[in-house]
Amino acid sequence: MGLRKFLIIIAVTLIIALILAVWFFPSNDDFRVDNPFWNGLDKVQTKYDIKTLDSLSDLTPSPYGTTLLVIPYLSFTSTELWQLNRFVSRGGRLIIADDYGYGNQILTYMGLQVRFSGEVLLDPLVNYVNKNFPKIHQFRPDPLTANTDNLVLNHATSLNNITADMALALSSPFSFLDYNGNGAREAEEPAGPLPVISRHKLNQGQVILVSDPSLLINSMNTIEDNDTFINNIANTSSSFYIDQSHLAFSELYHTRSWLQQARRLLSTPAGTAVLVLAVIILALIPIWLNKGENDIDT
Amino acid sequence: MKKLIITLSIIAMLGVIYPGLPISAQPVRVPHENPENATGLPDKVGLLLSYIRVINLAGNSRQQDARDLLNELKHADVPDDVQLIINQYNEVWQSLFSTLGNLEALLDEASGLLANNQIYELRQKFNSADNDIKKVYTLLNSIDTATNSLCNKLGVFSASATSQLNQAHKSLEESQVRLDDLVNMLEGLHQKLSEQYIQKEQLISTEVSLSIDPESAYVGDIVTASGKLIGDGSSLIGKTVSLTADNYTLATAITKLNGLYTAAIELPYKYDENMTVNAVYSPASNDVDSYLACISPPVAVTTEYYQTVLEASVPLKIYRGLPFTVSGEVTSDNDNIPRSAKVLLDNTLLTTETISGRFSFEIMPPDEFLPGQGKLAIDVSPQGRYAGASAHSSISVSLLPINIDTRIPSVILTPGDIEISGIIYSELGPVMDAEVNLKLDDASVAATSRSDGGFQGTIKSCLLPDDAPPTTNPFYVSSTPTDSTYDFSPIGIREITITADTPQSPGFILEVKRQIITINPLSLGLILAILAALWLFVRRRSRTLTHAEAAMTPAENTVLPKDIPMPVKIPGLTGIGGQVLSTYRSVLAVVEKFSGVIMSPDTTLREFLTTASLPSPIAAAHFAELTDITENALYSARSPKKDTAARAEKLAFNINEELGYGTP
Repeated sequence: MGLRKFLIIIAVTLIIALILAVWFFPSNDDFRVDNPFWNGLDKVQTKYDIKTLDSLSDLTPSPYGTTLLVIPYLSFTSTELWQLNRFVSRGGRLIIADDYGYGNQILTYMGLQVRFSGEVLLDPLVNYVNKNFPKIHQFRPDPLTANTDNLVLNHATSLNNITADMALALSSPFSFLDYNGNGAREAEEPAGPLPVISRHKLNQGQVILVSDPSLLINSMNTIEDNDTFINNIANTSSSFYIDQSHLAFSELYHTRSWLQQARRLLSTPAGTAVLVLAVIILALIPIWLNKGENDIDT
Repeated sequence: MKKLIITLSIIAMLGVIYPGLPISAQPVRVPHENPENATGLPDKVGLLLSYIRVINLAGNSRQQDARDLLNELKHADVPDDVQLIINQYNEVWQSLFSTLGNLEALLDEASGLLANNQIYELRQKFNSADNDIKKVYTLLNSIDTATNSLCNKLGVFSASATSQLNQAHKSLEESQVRLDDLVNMLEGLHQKLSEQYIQKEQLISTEVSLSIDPESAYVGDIVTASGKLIGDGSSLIGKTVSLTADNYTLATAITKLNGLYTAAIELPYKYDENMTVNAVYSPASNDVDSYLACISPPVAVTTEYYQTVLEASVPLKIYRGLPFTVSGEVTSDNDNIPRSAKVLLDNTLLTTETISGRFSFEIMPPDEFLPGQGKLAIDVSPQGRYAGASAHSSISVSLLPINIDTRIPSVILTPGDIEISGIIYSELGPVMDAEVNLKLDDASVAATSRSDGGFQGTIKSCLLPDDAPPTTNPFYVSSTPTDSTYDFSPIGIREITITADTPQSPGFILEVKRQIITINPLSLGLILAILAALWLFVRRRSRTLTHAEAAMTPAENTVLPKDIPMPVKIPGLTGIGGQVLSTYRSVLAVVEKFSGVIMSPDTTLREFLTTASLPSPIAAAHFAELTDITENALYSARSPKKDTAARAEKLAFNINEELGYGTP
């Protein structure tokens, strides 16, 4: 076997192996429902039969009783903001679980005063393992917080511009926002209790803000009463959707999307025709090359 | 080859580098970390600083806030042995803050009573304050000891203590000093109030009496209160006496001749059988410097009213969009007068109805209520002598569960029609007039459920997309764009989505999805045909190659003369000439293979000799001689010599050997 043949076979084998790996290897992207690892939402999605949305255009036009969970790690277009606003206005319940993303873009569009502070919430005393995992145990009685004694957040933030009746959960008095990132509380840094979950009525619907989406991930939802909180959300929803179109995506996800598009394309008549043509050409190339060599020799 | 290696290298490099590029688009801050891998140590500095916050709150007379903050420390994530000390430490602090709070309240109350000359309760309060101050000092000593224990446990006094920890300890001690200042201030206030008390004791003491007639009456009725106000044995005239019940002033009266007073009191609509009334005299304006305040012994008044009994029945679960029934009976001492009743769900008024005796009415749940548990209250308002009544019940607000049973074939041949049918029902029975939508890819069909809840629809699966123009699509036939779909893949799994919008569950669209296997015989056959053609082509080619290679069997594997191909019998040419020609033909295949030149039918032997270029000069010379011998055999008028055939075979052997393995 010549070196040329060897390289081609190795390259083709490698490409096929990579395609298979990309296709079958589970996602490891943050907050993806098909991610079974510690940072995915696989468990929550399976347990509560959460339906995924790959586009906000797929939102139900009659959203009464429907809950939509958005983790806004990518910015929204004006059309998407309009779709979210319409969803809430018609009676849907929008849960924005955000820490350092684009949640404030939605809140600004909807005309709500409340904001995600975007600063790191630390709790040196009332925490799980360390101060990056603030433990929340102050709750206002509500169907969403029923049977919930403790929630554990993971690199969370807090909510600003909130009145007492809006807050459903508060951090401990020892928590604070670490403006300068030195891990210690300075005099100018706001101290707890700070709101971390809130509810806001908007027309016929409502907006729930959760200042940390990480309490949903596979490794967090079994800690303390995080699962109870999610259970309460599911139990008070006739349908539970999660938006996956505003999550940051890895190259694995990107490549898999390309492969899926290619598969869809190949299932069309034109795609099938192109595929067949390509197979024929590939099969005939060696013959054509051989003929060419013969001609040259002649 | 170089180009191929360079191309593959560039692709491999891009593959390594490109996946790292999107990292720049990720959030700047870490969204989370794996809790299983997280580690941490107790924040000793933070713990001491939190106590400073507690003490500062107490120092600002916010005892309750200080106690709440201490309670929060129960949730601190610290080792068990530290937590044990913290709990004991907190207990002492809690006791201190409780005592301080009590002391402050006592002194505030005493200050207010002194301002109104109400010294009749002061002695007891001052005694309590004295006890609290003593207790505070004891507790402060205990706290000093407990602080040392805690700091020792946290390693403040060890050599390895950090400067931050030492600084925190120092700040804690300073805060405790400030707390001592607060205690001193409270003790000073207590002293000052005691002195004022002694001064007030010099004022003229007063006494007021009270009687009420009748002692029993219905709510809303008028009763008469009367009594006498005297000061140091003399009647006080023109003084205001207040008649109070539960700190609520019912009426006031001015004392007249002999200090007597009379007032009409309308019994409030409180529907409480026992009411206690007091007459209170509080000196005002110039009297503040002359008289002490006084309060009469309490007088009990029995208030009468008609009891109302409400029995209500409500469903445990109600559905949005469907009315529910509230029924029951309201009675008041066997009297069924019309009563106003309000129905509230989570304090939101649903309706107001007038009811009497047995009642039953329907209510439509409001649209704004989200699914979940709620509290339904039925309040019958009080009405004159009739007391109010209320009934409460937990109620679940939800959507009426709608179910769909579908009948869809699991395997579909395309193109063709896909028949979909099913039935829609709820726990109340079949659901009629539901708007059903059947969707497969971009095609959808609408249907409406019948009275038995059944529905039926057909989705057409076409060969090609509907929007393919007729000019380019020979199979094009007119079809409805909304109810047809296409899929050219030979075998596939596709999803049919069925949604139902029912009048019984407005605003909620039920959605079910079913997977089907589609088989397209046409494209399957086409692909199989192409594959079969390719297979045949490849097989035929490989056979040709096999024959050619067989003709090139290495000479050393053969034994002359037997392995030289047997002369082919040529019609019209026999004997030595035929043998020579057969020998030439056997060599010709080998020469064609090595020269890459195929001898065409119109080529002469000599022309072929000039065209075919052999790699070996010896073989070329032998082939030239063989060509010459063959030409002579074919075209010469004379018969070939007897040894010609042997010479030809010898040349053929040499050529094979030369081309196959070279000269040994």
